[in-house]
Amino acid sequence: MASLKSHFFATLLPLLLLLHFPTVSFAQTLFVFGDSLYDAGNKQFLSQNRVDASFPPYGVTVGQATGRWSDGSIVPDYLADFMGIPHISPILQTTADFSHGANFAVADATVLGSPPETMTLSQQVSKFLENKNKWTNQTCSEAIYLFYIGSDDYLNYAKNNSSPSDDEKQAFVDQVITTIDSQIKAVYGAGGRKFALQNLPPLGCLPVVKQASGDVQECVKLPSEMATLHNNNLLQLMVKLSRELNGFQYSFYDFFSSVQNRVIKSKTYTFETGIAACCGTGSLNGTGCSVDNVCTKPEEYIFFDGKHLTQEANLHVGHLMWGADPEVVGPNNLRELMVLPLDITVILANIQEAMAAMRPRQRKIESLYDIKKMESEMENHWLYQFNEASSFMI
Amino acid sequence: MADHCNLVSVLGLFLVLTLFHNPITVAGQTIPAVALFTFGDSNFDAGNKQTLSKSFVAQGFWPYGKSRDDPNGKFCDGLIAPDFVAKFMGIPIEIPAALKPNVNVSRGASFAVADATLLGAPVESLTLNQQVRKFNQMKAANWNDDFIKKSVFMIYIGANDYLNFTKNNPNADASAQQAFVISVTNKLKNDISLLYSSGASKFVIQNLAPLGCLPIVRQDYHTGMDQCYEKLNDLAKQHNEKIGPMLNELAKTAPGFQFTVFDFYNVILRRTQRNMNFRFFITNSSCCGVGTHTAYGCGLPNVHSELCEFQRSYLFFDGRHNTEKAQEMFGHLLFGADPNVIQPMNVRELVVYPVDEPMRESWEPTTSTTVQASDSSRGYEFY
Repeated sequence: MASLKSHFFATLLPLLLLLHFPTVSFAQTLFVFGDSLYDAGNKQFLSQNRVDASFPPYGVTVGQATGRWSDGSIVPDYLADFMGIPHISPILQTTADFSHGANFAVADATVLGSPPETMTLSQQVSKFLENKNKWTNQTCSEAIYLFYIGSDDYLNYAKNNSSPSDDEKQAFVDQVITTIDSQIKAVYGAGGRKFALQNLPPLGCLPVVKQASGDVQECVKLPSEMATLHNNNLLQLMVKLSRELNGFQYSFYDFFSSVQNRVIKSKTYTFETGIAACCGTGSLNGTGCSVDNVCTKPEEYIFFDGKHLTQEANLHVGHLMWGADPEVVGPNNLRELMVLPLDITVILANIQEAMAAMRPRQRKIESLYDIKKMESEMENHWLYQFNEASSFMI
Repeated sequence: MADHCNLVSVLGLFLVLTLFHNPITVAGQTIPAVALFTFGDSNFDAGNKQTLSKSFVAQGFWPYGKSRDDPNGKFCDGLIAPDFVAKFMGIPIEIPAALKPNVNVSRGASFAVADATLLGAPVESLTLNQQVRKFNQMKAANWNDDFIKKSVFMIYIGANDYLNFTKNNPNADASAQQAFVISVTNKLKNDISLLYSSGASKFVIQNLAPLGCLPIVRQDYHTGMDQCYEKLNDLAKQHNEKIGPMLNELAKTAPGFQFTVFDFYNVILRRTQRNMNFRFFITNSSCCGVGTHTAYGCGLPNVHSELCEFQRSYLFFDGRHNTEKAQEMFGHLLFGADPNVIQPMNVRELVVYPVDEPMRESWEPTTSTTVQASDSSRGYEFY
């Protein structure tokens, strides 16, 4: 009897390791939500006025202005390149090909409020839900959902509130985070599982902000403080969601540190300057970008205009989001997020949490017959999954 | 029973799931709080070259450091093997470059410099001998003798001697090669003795990589995608053969001399021959650079290098230096692997071996019997 029990136990252990069949995935679809950093041309469909990004010198490095707020490619373009899919088209360009996803980002987008001629985060998510029938359920659950939003909320807040108290700052951040929370849940409800978030940069270091403050040496405090507060709360939100939502997977990229590194030690990162923008007028070229005042070598600059990165800086960001270590982008980089099997909730660092997460999925073994059946099911399933998932082990 | 099963399965699941982002836990016998000192060439250089060179040092700039967004003079996209060994030894900081001003050397330092050799006078660099003398200069101000005696000294040197020799003597015959190997290894022995008389007693000597398999060598000597440049592999093997016996002798004659040899040659060779077992997609070319094997000029301002998007698929970051992912593997192997990888003991065993005690095991050459004996081991370096 004892030997049967121990034999039972010995076979059961490795089988129970595989108890939770991970569903292999290989994301080939990218949905993009955000503001002008990610806008690939939606703004021009929403604005009656001239949209600067639709005209030179925007796009100067690639020879074509596409509505992107840069001299060339933006971060979603590079991520699409690395994923091996075509650049993601703006959703409002209705004739475009959306087989690999869609870009809902619009310049001037915010989380809160209702600014004109744009789509807030909630409106972007609604737009996604309206168009959801363009993609299968499988596609939607395997896809990566990329978010970058909030900078305009905080830039406006800093403009309108000169010295808010700590409580006031936190209250505003709470409002923003609460809305992001509900919008992510809406996407999750529609089947989304893989969420990639880029946090906010030190907003006080943007050329347009420094120039407006009159002090070109120091980054402006309040916008950067708001960004930091937001970033901490946003990461906490990710951790919370990964506990609340089954199968929730995320990648949180520390854009703040990347920009800060490049502003402080520009040359280490191959930029000539992290202070002035490439295109514009004023002490830091922070406003009024036009063909008359664009630099000759955008790749030497971090900022193309007062608020947006050059193609070269976007490329760095793409590399970092895609393949850097967890202290830069964690707990998974996008390359790992892309192939992470579905149904794996989160990489938990705490054994008690791992146990708690496992409990609902206990299966009671009634008899040896069950085990044998499970054993053969698992072996077939696992072999199939293993072959498909070999790239996952990277 | 059911609860017990679940605990074990959860542990197993937890283990599987945390393979990527390992919380590094060092359990077991207490490791003494000692230092790690490294000597040698660019493999262990933690930023010394930047201090010694007047010209542009590409390793201080993006895309070096890409994995951590921190270009700091290391020849890698992130941390190097000594950093991981230090972590496992419980050292809370990265081992700093000794030649940089204002660095915390309380738990060790790197005296290694890119382009370092054993023989000759390398430009804007230091021979091993000069590095040891530098260590001596800094000794009095920083570390006491007892601390040094208990600390670990890692050395990786010689690659540049053979790379230069082959470049300058492309048609060297067997006896010329032999003679050169003898002069190089004799110098190594002398320099190790010098370090020993400076107070060091625990030595980790990393033997040479298969130099012919480095992407920059394959590229420069046009070996194609599948072959290594065997002439350089031969030289490395000849050099490596002499290391073990030399150290055995030192251990017999020098009281308290303790050593181990890390078989880096076969560690790299295995990864080039069975790359998928070690989860490297590409081992014959570099992640960053230009040329047939993308091996030249990573980070140089006048070279438009390619840069791979996922450096964790590569064994080599640039033409001759390993990625952080590989370096982490080396750290694990150095610290805890079996004698077929590092012998006669690993760093974990070396660091707790009592000082002043003679060694009870010696380095043994790998014969077919020892290979058979060690092949029965689990081969856990596959993880």
